Amino acid sequence: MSNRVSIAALLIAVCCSAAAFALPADDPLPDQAQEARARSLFYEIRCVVCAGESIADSPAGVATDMRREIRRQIAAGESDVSIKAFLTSRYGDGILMRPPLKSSTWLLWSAPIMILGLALLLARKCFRPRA
Amino acid sequence: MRFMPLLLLLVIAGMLAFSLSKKPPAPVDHNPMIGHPMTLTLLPMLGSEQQFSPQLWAGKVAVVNIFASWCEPCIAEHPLLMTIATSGKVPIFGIAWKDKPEAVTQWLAQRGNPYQAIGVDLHGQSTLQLALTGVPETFVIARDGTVAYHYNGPLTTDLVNTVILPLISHLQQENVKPR
Repeated sequence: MSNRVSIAALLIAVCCSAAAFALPADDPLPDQAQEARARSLFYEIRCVVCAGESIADSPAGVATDMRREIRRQIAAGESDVSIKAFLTSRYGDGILMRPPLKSSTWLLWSAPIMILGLALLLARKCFRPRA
Repeated sequence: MRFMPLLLLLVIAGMLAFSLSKKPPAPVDHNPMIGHPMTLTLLPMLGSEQQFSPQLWAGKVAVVNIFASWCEPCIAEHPLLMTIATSGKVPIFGIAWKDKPEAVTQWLAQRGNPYQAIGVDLHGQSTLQLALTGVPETFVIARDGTVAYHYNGPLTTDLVNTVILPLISHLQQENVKPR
């Protein structure tokens, strides 16, 4: 019985410590709603220094500066749309984790659905009731 | 028909192999300021009461180098900057990025100072203005204050001799239209 308790305690401790490392130490906005908006925006912006990561978790200098600037703009009343437009004006469309739907990205967006569609078409035999 | 799944697998595998064989997309190498004046917030100037701003190079062709005392590749390009500075061909201005004045002073004392003036950007105020992705980065400014060229990364001898110095010579021969 005590084994299970110690394992549970260990797991809880690990999960708590993971949460502590989750976000780099920044100055959060005093307004909770604004800070929540900032955090969700962070997940949409790519870290230019660390491949594949968003700026939400990145300790990189550039990511820190971007988070600070996004918070500043939110507090100044800017909309998400205008903040993203500002960032893409500085760094290009690639700064967004989800590239915008444009003529150059339609294949990127539609490929998974097309492949799924094709796979379903080929597998339709599997959906027929067995004779 | 029974080979269709295999065929589909080969097609997808082929597409993946093709994509993976390509180089990852280059980091942003088109700085948004190219062709425009450098936007820069006023920064404290190292060792001076004056403020560091683009006014310092108004009317001149200039090199603006973003560096930091904690930056390894900056050490590698430093001798090149010293060579350019001592040649007197073009003034070099520095911005110490996310760096403390004392650390910058010490770093330059150890290695030599190629800069006419240095702006200290302790908190990274210039990061988004200059669209920096790190240090070092180098800008070449034309006489009318517009950014003529930007390089992301440490300068190399090759780059300086084949691209940057010729560009500077060319820009210096341009006639200035009074603003």
